[in-house]
Amino acid sequence: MAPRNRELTVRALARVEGEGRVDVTVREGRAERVELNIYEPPRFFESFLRGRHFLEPPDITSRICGICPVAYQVSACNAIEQACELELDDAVRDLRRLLYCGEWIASHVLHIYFLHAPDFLGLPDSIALARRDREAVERGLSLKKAGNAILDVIGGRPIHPVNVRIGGFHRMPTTAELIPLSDELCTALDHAVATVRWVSSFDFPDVELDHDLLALHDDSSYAIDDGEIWSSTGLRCTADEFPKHVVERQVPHSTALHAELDGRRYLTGPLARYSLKSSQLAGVSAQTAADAGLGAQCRNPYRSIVVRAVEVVYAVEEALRIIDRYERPAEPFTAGPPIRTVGHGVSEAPRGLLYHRYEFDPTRSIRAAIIIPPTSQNQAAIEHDLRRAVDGNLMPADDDLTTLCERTIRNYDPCISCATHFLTLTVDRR
Amino acid sequence: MGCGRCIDWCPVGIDITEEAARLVQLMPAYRPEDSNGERRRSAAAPCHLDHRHRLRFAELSTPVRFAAGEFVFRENEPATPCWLLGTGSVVLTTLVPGRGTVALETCTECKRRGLTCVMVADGTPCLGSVTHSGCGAQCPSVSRGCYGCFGPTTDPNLAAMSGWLRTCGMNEDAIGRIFATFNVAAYGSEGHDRGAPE
Repeated sequence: MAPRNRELTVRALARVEGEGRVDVTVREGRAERVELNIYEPPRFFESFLRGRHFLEPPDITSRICGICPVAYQVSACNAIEQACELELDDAVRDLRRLLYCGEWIASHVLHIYFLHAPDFLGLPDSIALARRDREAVERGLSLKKAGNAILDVIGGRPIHPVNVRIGGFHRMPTTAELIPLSDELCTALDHAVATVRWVSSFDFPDVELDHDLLALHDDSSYAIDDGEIWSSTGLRCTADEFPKHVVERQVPHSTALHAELDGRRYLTGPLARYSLKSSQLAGVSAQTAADAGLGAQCRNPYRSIVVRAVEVVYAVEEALRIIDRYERPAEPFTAGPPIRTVGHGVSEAPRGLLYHRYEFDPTRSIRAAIIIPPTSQNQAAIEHDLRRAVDGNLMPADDDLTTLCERTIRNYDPCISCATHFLTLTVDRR
Repeated sequence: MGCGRCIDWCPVGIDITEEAARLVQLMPAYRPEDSNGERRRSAAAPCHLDHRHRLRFAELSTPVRFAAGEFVFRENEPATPCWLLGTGSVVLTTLVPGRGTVALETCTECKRRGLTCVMVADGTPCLGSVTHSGCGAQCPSVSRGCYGCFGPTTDPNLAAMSGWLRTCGMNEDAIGRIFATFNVAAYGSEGHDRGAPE
């Protein structure tokens, strides 16, 4: 029988990016206190952006994350290009989306194969997974390599790409340089479909979330690199209006700010994107989603692994389409100084919506910067989900309940260093 | 710190620093037995892994052997493998004839790749000649100037570099900013003379 009062502790949560802990106190069978404690020291990026030149944020903010640097570069570019009133060439936008597809593939595959899948297979890590199913791990590595190859060819290197700049790129690749990518991506498409098939065979606990969902929308495609902000409760707004709806606040137990959407907790990321825009998937990704048993919406956090795998299929297909129609533009970038004092930019990082805001002074330097990463926006939803997992839970062993808490968190692929940032779990059963 | 690069590289998807810290915490110091059979603390075991955990790491590695005096790794080669030192020691040196032990500049990597100098040819500000090598001259390969990720090289000639940056149209504020970004060390932090504008 489960103890009425319990205290759980995970000293170091593995298989998430960054460091943090969870404190759970159960009193009389109810979760009295559930706190996701992000204790990584603050990283002060917004402070040291002050006084920098308006062209610098893509290089500086990409350092916030080694897994999703492109997201930081693109949101920064979108915000600053808005302030400079720059219109980008379609081919330049396309190439930026291609670069972003590379990051989605690399980041999602990392989480699916190396961080998340072991949870469903009762394995401690991917080394154990490689012993049991070498083929799966090799497939994962090959798929991640394909994502990295896109980043390398277009960005100049797979981590913290150097080729991105405000208004476009420093240098546009030639058509011939993209051809080897096409060959690699054709193989990757088979691997991506096999990945969906593999993860959809896992056992998923029956859980449904009721959070409000927030994602970018673009009429013409599944939004990645830019778009209008849509929510499942009917909000439609532009990046400029984001601060009117999303308010950040400090909580005592976390160095990452919590965020609320019009006063409510909400979720951003793969589940939100898929649930709001699954009708925009077409071709192989739509077919594999249907074959995997995903409906028009997916609100089961455990099934996020299937949604990520479907998004990998989409990113590979989209990358192939972009390479297919690519013609090298005459100019790699459009240039111009800030015209407006303030610029807002958004894009869909692998973990969810990433917002940047910059304010400029007359010398074209940054006066103020605000960066709102997806994991920080998702903290309240994660805590809510943890509370539900623990509340009235009859698992007799603390170890099992602790494992459940860790799984609950890993479902969200938190990037704590981005949020600043996560995880040791303490459960206090009184 | 906390940028996630290590987790991105790690083939097993774990944060090595976290795991290593835990092992250090849990395990007694690594104490190999000496010839007399007495247990002693080894100076060559800075991470204090015990025998069991060394074996666990060794299990996941491919054995290699290097002859005495053999170069194990040369600058500019991709730093992909990690070595778990079984026996022997490794000496780290960089020697340039006539200059003694120094760090090479990114500039030399550009030359080796046969790239056109972006500063000389296009007037693009580039820190390549005062920056530690290792990246393979990534930025000039995409037609931009080096912005100094790998930090200042040994004894960088900042006075000459500042002159070039001014020629490329940068003012003193901009030069101050490019020498102080978010990288390993600020250029000029060792008191190197940046040179006054003419």
